[in-house]
Amino acid sequence: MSKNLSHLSGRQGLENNLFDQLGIAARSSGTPDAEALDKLQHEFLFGKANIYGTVSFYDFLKEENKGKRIFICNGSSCMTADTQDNVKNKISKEFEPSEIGEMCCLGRCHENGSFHYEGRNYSGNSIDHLSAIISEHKFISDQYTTESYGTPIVTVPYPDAAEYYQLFLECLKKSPDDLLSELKISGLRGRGGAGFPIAFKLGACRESPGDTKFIVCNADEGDPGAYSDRYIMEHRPHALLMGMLIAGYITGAEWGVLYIRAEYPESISIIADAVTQLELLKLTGKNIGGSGFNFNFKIIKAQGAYICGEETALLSSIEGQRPEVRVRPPFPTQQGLFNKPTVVNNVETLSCIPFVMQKGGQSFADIGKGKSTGTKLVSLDGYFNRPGVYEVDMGTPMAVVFNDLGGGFKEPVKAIHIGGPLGGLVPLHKMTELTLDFESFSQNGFLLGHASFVCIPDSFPIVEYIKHLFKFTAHESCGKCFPCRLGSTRGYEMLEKATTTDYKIDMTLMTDLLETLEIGSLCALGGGLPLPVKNALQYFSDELKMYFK
Amino acid sequence: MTYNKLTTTAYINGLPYDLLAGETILSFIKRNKSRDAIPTLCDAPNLEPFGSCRVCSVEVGLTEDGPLKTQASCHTPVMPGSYIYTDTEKIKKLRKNIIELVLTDHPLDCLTCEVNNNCELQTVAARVGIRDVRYPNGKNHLDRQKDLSHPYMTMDLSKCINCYRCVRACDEVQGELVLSMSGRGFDSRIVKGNDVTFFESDCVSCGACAQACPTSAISDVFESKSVVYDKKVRTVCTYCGVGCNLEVSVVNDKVKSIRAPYDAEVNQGHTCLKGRFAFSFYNHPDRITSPLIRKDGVLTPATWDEAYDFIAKKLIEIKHQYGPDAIAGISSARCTNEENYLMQKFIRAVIGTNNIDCCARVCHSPTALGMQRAFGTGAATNSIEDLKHTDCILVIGANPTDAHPVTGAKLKQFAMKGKPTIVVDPRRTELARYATYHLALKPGTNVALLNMMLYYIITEGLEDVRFIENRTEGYTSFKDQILALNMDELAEITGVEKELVRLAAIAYAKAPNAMSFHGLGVTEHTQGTFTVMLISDLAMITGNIGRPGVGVNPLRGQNNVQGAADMGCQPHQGAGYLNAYDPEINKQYEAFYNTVIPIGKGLKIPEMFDASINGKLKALWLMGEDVVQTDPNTQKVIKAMEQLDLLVVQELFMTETANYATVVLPGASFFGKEWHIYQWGKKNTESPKSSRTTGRYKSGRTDHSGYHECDGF
Ligand SMILES: Cc1cc2nc3c(=O)[nH]c(=O)nc-3n(C[C@H](O)[C@H](O)[C@H](O)COP(=O)(O)O)c2cc1C
Ligand code: SF4
Ligand code: SF4
Ligand code: SF4
Ligand code: SF4
Ligand code: FES
Repeated sequence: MSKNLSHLSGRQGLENNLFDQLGIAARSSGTPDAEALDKLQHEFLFGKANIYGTVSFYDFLKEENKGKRIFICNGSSCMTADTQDNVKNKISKEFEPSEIGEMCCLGRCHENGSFHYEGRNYSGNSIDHLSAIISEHKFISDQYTTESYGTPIVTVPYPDAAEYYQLFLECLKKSPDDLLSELKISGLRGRGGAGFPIAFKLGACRESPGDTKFIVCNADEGDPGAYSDRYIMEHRPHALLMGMLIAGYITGAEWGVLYIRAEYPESISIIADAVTQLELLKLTGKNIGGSGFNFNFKIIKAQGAYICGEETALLSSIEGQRPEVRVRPPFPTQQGLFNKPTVVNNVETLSCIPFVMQKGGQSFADIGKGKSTGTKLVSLDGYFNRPGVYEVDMGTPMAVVFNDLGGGFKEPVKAIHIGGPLGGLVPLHKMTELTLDFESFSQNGFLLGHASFVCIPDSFPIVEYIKHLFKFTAHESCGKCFPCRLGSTRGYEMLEKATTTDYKIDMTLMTDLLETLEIGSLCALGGGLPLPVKNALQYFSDELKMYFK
Repeated sequence: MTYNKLTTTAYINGLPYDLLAGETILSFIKRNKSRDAIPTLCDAPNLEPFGSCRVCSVEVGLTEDGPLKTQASCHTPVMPGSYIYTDTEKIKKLRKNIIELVLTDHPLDCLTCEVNNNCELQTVAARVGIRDVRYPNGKNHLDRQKDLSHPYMTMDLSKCINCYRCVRACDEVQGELVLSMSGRGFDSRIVKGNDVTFFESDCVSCGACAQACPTSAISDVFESKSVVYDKKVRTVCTYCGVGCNLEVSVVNDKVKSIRAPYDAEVNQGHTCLKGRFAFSFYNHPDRITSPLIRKDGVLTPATWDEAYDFIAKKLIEIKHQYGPDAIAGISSARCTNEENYLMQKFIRAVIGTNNIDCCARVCHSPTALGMQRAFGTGAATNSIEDLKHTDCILVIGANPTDAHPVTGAKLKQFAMKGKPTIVVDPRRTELARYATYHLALKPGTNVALLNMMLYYIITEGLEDVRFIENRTEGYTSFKDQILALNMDELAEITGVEKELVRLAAIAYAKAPNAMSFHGLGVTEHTQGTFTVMLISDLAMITGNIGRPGVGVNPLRGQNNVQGAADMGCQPHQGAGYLNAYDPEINKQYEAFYNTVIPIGKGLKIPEMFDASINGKLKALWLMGEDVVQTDPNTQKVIKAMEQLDLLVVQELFMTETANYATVVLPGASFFGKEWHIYQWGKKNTESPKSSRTTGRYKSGRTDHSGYHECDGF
């Protein structure tokens, strides 16, 4: 990350955004042409290499993306569901190999068989209608269950926007400090994976000197298997936007940026509509409700890179820099977007704020268990009988989640990968010991993360699954730190060699590699990969021992 | 023991040490233990912490027996009261395992590598005790092609370890943004521009990336990182007024390569293309190697004694026949203080005339005079360090990224970070591209523009009233005069929008600390002195003088413009700027030099040319100044040279002027001198042991002229 580039990008403000412009320039052919790059380089005073470096980073900007028209999901859930060979076969009949790309998780993990064509996502048995999709641009929506178990906080229906936002206008009458203390009382912790208290970040940003500040919503929901943020954006967009407005009011930020992954085209358009609605209601812009508070939204469409979910990479991404993870300090609340104080929060975290403001921090804190207050959305994949997004009180027994809500499994499952690629690999027999909250998971050697559930059926070899995780990390590694850049590839290579030849992996070497990744990596991508691999080595040693010496 | 936020101690391997506020673990350990106490690869002295190699990891506990966490020391601040362990088994293993991974994608041909024995990877690998690489053969980048397209820079990415030091150097030091990483993960790779060759890229050949690179992945054709040299000497670059310190590797008495020392305050490990690579003149066959005397119209080699005798005889003749005022000397702002001092002393004390001048008086005399009038002294008020303490810079009539590259790079860093930068220049200079305000005035309208700025500072009520009251004189009438000006008229004259000037004036006046920089675009105009006075007025009206981070800074043309003037190489001012025409002061000079010192008016350079053409000047001694090439009206200068009875030229090469010389004396370049210069900010810098210097001739010469050395100088 370069402070100079952060600054140069910030000079143009958010209205003329470099990263946005690169996306627009790539629209027609799949990658920006030389002329467009040249123009942007001059306009933003970047070096040619900087722009080139940025473009080459992203799956949907880089030169290799040129001419790609249809994208097949290669996410973990679609992989274990074993739907993609069929999808690929059918697509190959209609498209040249050079036209077929890959995307990692379209948030259709409940139906699988996912692919993306001309700005729309398809899943389930849509592949059987491929020719109609191509000729009529047919839109087929997906179906999943949404229920709450306990208190609905995020999933609770809200009235029409004009009425709903009275709550926000009420907030504007209170002091930011009062609102902040409600959040403190609520104990609301980040839902994006790390579980960091939101009040602390908002408070730190509020304290940071400067008159330009930003609220950034991390809507890059990159964990294959997760689609709860997608649910919120598409079904409860105003809970999220109101959360951002209140966060802006608390910190003194006048801009809210929604960084939404390209794999969620519907989310992008629904959020855009919701923002337009707010503009019409005069709930954005200058002097909102006569309070003197100004706030505007900016939607940024991501371009295909899992690491952009990591908050500092995300900030560099918005700036049009290469999204390489930054060192901390400085923390984003001190020097974030364009070197200005910034709060980055997950979609779900921000969407809890209206409830806290309406019912009070204590009501929120009363829900849940211990330090895990409130509720959590979980995403259940297609192996459940009732796949969908469920909101459960923190501390709910896991048996409730997968039996009462998920309705049990369609097929025998031996493990569930919970909390994304860097979450723990939980063997089925451990499931009943867990309750759904941060502490229960970490005490048992797992990770709640963003609470996505990817099932691994009995028939799926664990070795293939951990190979997939290494491959995923190798593909998504930003490449900045040595352990992850090199280690993810070397780990994948060893597993590949062991599964395709009679090579046996030296267990000491594998343990050394895992420790190097875990304690040596700069961020939780390289640092998190060892957890599921170690879980696998511990709980599935019988299955794995033939590959090791 | 419990963790205590207020303590200013932390522990390294069990022993307590004092902590500095905001210190990283790495600098804390380096400061208290040794510079290489912790191995690192991606860290560099002049770059921001980056945290990519992770080799610098240490274990940290918040209590003595508490749990330990592995942290990268280069970018983690020390927690007061924490316990840092630098070499636990876990850490040793981690470092070794990281290096093992690096070596899975690195050619193992150290012995034939250019940087063998001076490679940071090699050093760290040896230190962590790597024996073998356990991973099976896999993907690698060993077949990457070399890029040898460039006259200076070389690249061999098979040796690259992806530490990003080059990218950061090009960004954070030079500000050129030529380099970037491309792609991602395992296949990420350094690119120049849109993945072009070094030659095709926008690289300005400053060499910062090569110096930063820990391996031979980026280097230069002189192999400046190689350890093959007989000795290393430190000297000062003479190309421009920055005066960068250079570290020269010498092999067989020939310059092999140059690097920039990190501990030099002026350039902190940086140089420009000229300082780093433009040294081939030193060993060039065209260098003058022996004295030359014109015989029968042809310059013919002679011995030093012959030359001295010839010159002494000629000078004595001329002095007897025409008097001392028929002789003059021009000294050089590229030579050392000692040489300049001796030159003026020779002319005044030995010859007995004040006909001594140098280019310092020409290019920056408006600065000296303007600032003397304003402040009482005519030197830069700041050193380069002050840039760290300033909040706004005003750059007027200067293109420092071209003319003073290393200082220019620092100013560019300032501008790139969006700190208020005002550039007053008719051209869209590199700095103007990044500036907050570019006032692109019509050439020659500096005075009008600065008056506009003063006007707006007054009308906006932004004067520093206390400073004006306590530290200035005549403000009321000054203010009245400024307020009487018509802004529309001045806007018309300068061609700059009033509003833009107003905004720039506000930015300058409102900044807690503001510094100005000016160059020849100010001083080489007829109203140069007035412009400098107005720049000084701007500083005074806003109280921007007399503290760190505020002031007025001329950007000098050569490395020792300041020193040449300080040493007295101007007709009207002797050493120390004392008035050469004042009888009282003259007595002091006479007492000191122990001889008669002239008091009559001396000739300035242009007057010398006139005097020669008019037959009044008969002999001229030129030290390191190519007047035919550099002074205006070449035909006239040539005519002046031709008219002389004696023209002595001391030079490195046969310059345009040397072609007209009666005697040519070979000079020593800055690689071969041991004396001093004054740099920007008046820092004294030492240069290394030498062979021959200009000063030596002069001592030799004074003997031949019948003057006896007094004690000291
Ligand atoms: C590799 C990696 C990927 C991440 N992906 C996401 C993501 O997709 N969405 C998200 O909200 N947080 C993600 N995070 C966590 C963010 O860095 C950050 O902690 C989060 O946005 C903070 O918001 P919260 O406090 O509301 O959870 C990721 C972190 C890492 C290390
Ligand atoms: S762990 Fe991987 S993704 Fe994270 S900073 Fe290091 S290389 Fe980048
Ligand atoms: S030589 Fe200087 S300008 Fe050229 S790439 Fe290296 S750092 Fe950048
Ligand atoms: S070229 Fe050198 S400095 Fe640049 S990343 Fe590679 S090893 Fe580091
Ligand atoms: S900036 Fe000036 S002094 Fe420094 S290396 Fe370049 S020419 Fe020499
Ligand atoms: S949609 Fe394919 S893994 Fe989620």
